[in-house]
Amino acid sequence: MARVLVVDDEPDVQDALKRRLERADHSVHCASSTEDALTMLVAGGPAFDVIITDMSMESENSGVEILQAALHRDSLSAVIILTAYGNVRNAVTCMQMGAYDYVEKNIPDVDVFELITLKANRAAQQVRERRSGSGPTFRLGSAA
Amino acid sequence: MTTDYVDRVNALMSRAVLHHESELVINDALKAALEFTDSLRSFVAGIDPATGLLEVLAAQGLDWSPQDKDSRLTVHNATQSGITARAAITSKPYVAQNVLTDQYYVSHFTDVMSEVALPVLDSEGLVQAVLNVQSGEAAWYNPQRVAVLQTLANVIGTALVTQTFVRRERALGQIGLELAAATTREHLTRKVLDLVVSTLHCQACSLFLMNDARTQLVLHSARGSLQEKVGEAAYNIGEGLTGSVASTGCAIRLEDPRQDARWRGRFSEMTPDAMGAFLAAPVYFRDRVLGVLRVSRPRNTPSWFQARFTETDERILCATGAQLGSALETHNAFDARLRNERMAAWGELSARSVHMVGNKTFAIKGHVNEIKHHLQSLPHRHQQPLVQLTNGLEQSIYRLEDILTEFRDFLTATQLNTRCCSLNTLLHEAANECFLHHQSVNLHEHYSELLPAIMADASRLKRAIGELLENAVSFMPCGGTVSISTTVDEMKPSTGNTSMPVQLFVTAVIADSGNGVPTEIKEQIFRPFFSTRSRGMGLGLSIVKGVIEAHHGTIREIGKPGMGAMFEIVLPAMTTEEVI
Repeated sequence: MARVLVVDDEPDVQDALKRRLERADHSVHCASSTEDALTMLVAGGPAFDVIITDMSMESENSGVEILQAALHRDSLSAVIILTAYGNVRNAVTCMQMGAYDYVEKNIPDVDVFELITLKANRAAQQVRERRSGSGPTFRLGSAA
Repeated sequence: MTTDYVDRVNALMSRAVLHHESELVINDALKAALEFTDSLRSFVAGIDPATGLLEVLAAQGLDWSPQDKDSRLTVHNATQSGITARAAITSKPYVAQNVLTDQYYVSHFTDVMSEVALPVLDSEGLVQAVLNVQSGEAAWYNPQRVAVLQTLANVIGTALVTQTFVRRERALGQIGLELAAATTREHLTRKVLDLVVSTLHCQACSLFLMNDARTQLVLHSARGSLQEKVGEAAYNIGEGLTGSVASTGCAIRLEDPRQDARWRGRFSEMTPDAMGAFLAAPVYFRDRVLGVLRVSRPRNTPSWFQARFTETDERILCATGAQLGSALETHNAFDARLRNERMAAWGELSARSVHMVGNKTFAIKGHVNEIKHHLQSLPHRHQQPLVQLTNGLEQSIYRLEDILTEFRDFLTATQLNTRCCSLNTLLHEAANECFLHHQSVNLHEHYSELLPAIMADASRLKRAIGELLENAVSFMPCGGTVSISTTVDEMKPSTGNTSMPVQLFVTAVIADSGNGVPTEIKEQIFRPFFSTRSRGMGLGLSIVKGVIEAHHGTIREIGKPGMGAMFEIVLPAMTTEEVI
């Protein structure tokens, strides 16, 4: 089980991701805005293991702000960026800045929620290993 | 008398030239004519340059009625129209020493015994007016008096020429002001036509403008009988005198247009018999002809009168054409900016809509995922109908995402992130990706080894090429051949200006062995929403065209119907400086 933060300004998306990830036995917390997310990232208690955030909410680069705050809090956290189709350039920038992965939200013929869950599970596994010292201690980006 | 006379003439000349007081100068010259030759009356009759009618401009002396001063004389016949007409026709002074026996004299005042008529010439040597002076004495006008009057005629000529120049200068200045102030194209052209008619003394004036395809000149506005044909009358480029002005960019000035081999007379301001002098000038901006401005005068003027347009008239019409062209181009640029701003707003609106619809679709996908999960816990007999429904729902969502994908590609086709690329490599990679899935189709590749590099957004251009290849394959369900080739071409600028640098282009041709594109739809295939297939929005080829054009290139379908489709893409090569 991992501590997961889902950041999206669409309540339906939050609910859907929360339900699916809880089904995968994760403890899921939700934020509806960049500001909410930044507050939750710096709050007391253990750091989130996995942060899944929409790329563009209040601004085109909301995801970048959340990525930076998350890695600042705990560089071992894994951040997965959700992008609209065709916004790959932003996602690539995020990867270069240390994001774990990115997922396009509207890929035809793909059940993206299964894909996100798969990536979140892998990310959680790696974060756990790194924190316990059994995995690679430093990792930037993944082409998974 | 000599000193007084010289002083008076000097004063008149300076007023005419320095102060542009033509009306006062003419009246004063007429008074001086009476004083220095002891005459009864004097008057000046001006010639209307459009019609040849003589019209009293000013009169001095005894017994003139207001009607006399407004009278117009039609000088049809040299023998019946008096000595004023005689001087106008011959351009020479005429002295009737005894009006009672003179063959040309037509009596108006009974106390006149002798009269002189002196032509007043303009800067091109044409008669523009006639000075008449009358005496109660027979044989009054000896050579000395005629010489005195001739000087005054010259003063009047100077005043009239100066007045014409000042009017033209004001009219040209006015055109400049009108061009700057006009808020609509219609307002602008209306004002320009009014000013041309008054400045060039013509009865008919028409403005033809190029259509968007630059294949025809269409009547945009007119003064005279052609007004009813605005929007209808049209010449092909090169057709008739008007079309010739557009194709050569040179003005045409003719005394009798019917004698010219190029004359067609399709849309004349008057009937062929009535057609007189003709002048047409290009309306242009830089080296591009935007239209033709033309004026004409009727033939039914007196036979002696030359209703021709002068070289000065031609220069004025050409200058007006240039000013009008520049103003029209400003209006076009303004319209284009408005259109672009509106298109940009539509683009932004569409992009936001796609984003929002995408987000909602993503949420629905999540809900469907959840439903599928719950379905698994139901007994099998309850599952089946619901599984079918959720599968249908899922498929509909995927098709919706297909549409969003296509729409977003269309919106972002022109947003490029360019770098130096090899077109050969892009084509080869796109072909590899496509032909991994379609092994029933043979692929032939012929790449030019000398192909220069291009500046391109590699991923977008590759996707555009991929779309063409997928298209080709989809039209050959039973297999076939796709061939891809590249060449390098030199293209000289179309203006024929050999001093301009030669631009290198790279050309890619993608041909298939399918049925090809029927002639009747060749024009339409690149239009948005055109499709012969049921799936998708029909944006595919319009996206490809958008991407190619954003790279400053062109795409055409050049295949023969029935012999396979053939798409030719031409892209500008990088110059040596760019590569460095």
